[in-house]
Amino acid sequence: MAETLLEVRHLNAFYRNRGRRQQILHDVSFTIHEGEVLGLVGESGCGKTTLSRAILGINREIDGEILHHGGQPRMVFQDPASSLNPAWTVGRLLEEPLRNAGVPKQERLARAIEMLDLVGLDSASYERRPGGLSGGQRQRVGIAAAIIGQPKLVIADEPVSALDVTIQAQILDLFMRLRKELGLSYLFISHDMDVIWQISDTVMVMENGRIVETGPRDDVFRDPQHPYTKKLLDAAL
Amino acid sequence: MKRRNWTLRIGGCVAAVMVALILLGTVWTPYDPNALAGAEKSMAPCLAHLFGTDNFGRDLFSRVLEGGRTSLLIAFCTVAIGGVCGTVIGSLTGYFGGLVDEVLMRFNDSVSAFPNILLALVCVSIFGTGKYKIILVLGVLFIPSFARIVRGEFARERSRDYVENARIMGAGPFRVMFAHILPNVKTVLLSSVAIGFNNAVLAEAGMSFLSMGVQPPDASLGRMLAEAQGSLFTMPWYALSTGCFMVLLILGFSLLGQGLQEQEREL
Ligand SMILES: Nc1ncnc2c1ncn2[C@@H]1O[C@H](COP(=O)(O)OP(=O)(O)O)[C@@H](O)[C@H]1O
Ligand SMILES: [Mg+2]
Repeated sequence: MAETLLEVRHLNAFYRNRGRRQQILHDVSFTIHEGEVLGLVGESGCGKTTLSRAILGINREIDGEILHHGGQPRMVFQDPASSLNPAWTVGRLLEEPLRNAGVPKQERLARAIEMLDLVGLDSASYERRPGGLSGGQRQRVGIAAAIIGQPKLVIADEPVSALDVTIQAQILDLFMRLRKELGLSYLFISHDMDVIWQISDTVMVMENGRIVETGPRDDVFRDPQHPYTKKLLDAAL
Repeated sequence: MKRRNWTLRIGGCVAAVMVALILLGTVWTPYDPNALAGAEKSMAPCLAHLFGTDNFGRDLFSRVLEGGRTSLLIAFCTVAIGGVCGTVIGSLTGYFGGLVDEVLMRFNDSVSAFPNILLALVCVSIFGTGKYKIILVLGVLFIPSFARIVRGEFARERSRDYVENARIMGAGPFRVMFAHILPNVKTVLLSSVAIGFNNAVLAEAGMSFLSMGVQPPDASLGRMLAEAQGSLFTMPWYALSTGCFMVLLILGFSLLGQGLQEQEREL
């Protein structure tokens, strides 16, 4: 059995709205192993983003346990147009995690150029700003910025949902190639059953903040146990 | 296709020319601004004296440049103090929010309820006049307006994805505020600087006009206007040239500020 990277146990998460506490996640438990791609699927608004924010430590209104065994995970956002600082150049964006970790400039530069190449971008993109790139190119930058610090686990929160269908396929291919080349693990979030089918080893279904079904991809798709999973599959056909 | 921002361009040019003239005046003026010339008293504008001379025969163009320098210095320092302190306070309160933010903003509102010029006059009557005291008083009084604008920007920006991303990338709160967010509020900040600059020029002029501002031997545009008032009918060019100079200076910076706002809206 591969090493465990992330363990989430009995996680409840809340948002506070003008003093009122609203529970979003209910008793969520799962693990991710090294090299595994865990696909999280569920309707919009069910709490998928809330879960990724809790794992990354951005939302502190939680109880339960989140154990990182493979270091801090990194994040790829849904919309790179808003998650990449529009005032910064691509090069600076890529080097930022290394800079914050104290890596010297020469090495940062070399790594950034290497990453651009790895995700299929021209090294001239280094000087550009996110606004000057296409949607697909921007998401490649988002991915490069997430993996440049060599995390073992990447959380990808609907990373293809904002893209055109043809670009979606290219970005999915990139995720699969990077996983093979770098041995990455993903928590891959989507509301699209097709996307989940293509990328996942294990599938986890969330309904209204609860995990209703988890299992190997083929089992969940061929023989769904929970009515909500069946509903999602029917809708996808 | 991007529309050309003429307001920004014209404003920038006018402001640049006026500032360049004043800066030139610090190293070279056509005449010594304080040299009395008995034979050339109260001359109307001509080629030798572009703005004419006053009743002591002093060259008004040279004096306007010198007065402009004091006004510019005061406006510049005022905006520097108000802008830097206001930005620091506004970004901290806007980014962190919470109780400190509440308290500071209520304080801010109550200070802003009084016109700046009134507060400035009160402060000056307590602390005294002179150009350095004016700078300090106006500078401190300008902090709240900058703080309010910057706070609003930071409160809006802090919930955007790129800020969350910056934190995930390991940036500390100060790096997030000043390296990540600040460049995104740059345009708003620059346009408030341009507007603040104008307000400072006007405030200084108003105070000096009431002889509550810059004191002799320093000249300033406000003081010159006060002097010109006495000879409005005998030497109208005195008030006109000084007034026009100030209007152009202010016009340049208001167009610049307005142009920057338009640019921000287009983005
Ligand atoms: N900052 C917030 N404050 C309060 N409620 C929020 C906030 N963000 C999301 N929510 C609510 O939490 C629920 C789950 O949202 P989210 O995790 O974004 O869902 P998903 O990513 O699955 O679409 C939604 O009902 C949403 O309205
Ligand atoms: Mg979401």
